[in-house]
Amino acid sequence: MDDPGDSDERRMLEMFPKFIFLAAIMIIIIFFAYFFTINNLRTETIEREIFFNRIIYSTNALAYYDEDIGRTYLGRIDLEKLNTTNLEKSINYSNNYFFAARITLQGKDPVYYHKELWETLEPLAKAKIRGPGGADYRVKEFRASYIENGTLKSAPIKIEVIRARS
Amino acid sequence: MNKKGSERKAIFLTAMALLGLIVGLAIFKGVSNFLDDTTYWKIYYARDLGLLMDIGMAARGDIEINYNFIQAEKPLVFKLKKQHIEIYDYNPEIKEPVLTTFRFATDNKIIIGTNELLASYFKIFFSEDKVNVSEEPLEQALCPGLNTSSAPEFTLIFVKSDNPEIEELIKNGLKIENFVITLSPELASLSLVVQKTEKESLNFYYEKETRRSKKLSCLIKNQIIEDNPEGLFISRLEKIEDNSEWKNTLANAKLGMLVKVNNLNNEIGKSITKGVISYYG
Repeated sequence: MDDPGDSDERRMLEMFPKFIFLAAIMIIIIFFAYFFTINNLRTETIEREIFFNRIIYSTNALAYYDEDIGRTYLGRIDLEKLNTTNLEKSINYSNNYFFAARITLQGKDPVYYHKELWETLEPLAKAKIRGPGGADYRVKEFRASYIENGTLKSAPIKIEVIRARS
Repeated sequence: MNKKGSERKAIFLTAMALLGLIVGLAIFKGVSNFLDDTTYWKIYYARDLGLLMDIGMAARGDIEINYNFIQAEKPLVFKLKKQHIEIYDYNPEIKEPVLTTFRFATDNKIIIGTNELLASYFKIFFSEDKVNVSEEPLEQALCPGLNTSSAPEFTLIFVKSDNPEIEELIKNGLKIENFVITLSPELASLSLVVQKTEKESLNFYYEKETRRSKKLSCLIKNQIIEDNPEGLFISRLEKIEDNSEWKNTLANAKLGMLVKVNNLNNEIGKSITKGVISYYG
């Protein structure tokens, strides 16, 4: 192999197939590691959607429920339920650090779900900090009806949710 | 290029590449046979059930959901707690199992019926004021479509049980179908060992031929479920332990299966016989 007269370039050329073989083995090992790695399950989006829907449609949250006929009216909210205490009782996590929300019905004061957490996470959400320790902000606006003083009214409602990223 | 030895070098490199490919495939097969994805499924089920709790409590009306853990290869324990789900591997030898948990939000007007289940199938009930879970009996499954048919006259089966009555019952059932009973596992096409266990409902252990073992255990299980629809809640198939007394018995035959049932009786014995017959049918 190392005959007199063999130059370095020639030896490098002879080594070339070995480099290809080494590269193939490394690709196989990386493939194994990728293939057998447990994939992360990302459920943040669906958790947020479920939280939104729970606020809007849950009988014990905001949705108007007629006890006489046992019917929940979708798209109609009960003003008596639009308060912090009711929201926090009807959607109660063991740890109060997951979600914070602000619900604003036009013409009414905003109602908070975990106000202290909202005030903590809102700057983080606005700053759009990436990675753990940040927060994700989403908003939904739609038109909702409600009964006030015996009259059926309709107004836009804005639901803002911030989810702590951890 | 046309020097002496360059042809030999090309052949050598080709041989090296082929060898590398064979070694790579062998490692791949070995690792994939060894691993299972139970950890992934524990995480999946914990999140799925936790989110299902949130959805169920927000829904209107009564809901009944049939749920199953059949994707996980090992039996899992499901614990419904007040504000979270816990899932862990079932192993009586481990006193403090590693829990996979996921939280859900409760509603002060809905009572959570906390429960701990060791079952492959269970039901979740949601109503206006409560949430309950209850285990459900095993259901029949689709078995691997492998061709395992064999003429009974040329199929030697070795049968052994710690219950002599059951052993005799299975042997007689197979003889009626013209199977040949052998006393020597080395000559047998199938070594079948049936034992009673104090543990969970129905366990199958094999030594080799994974797909054939899956088919045989599936057929036996389906037959037991058909004949005893309310009896079983959990079932698993796994490789026999190295220190098991039956390892050699299973290894010596072409196919070996150790069946452990916690309510071993004549009905179960007949179901096992029917399962074996349908395997070779």
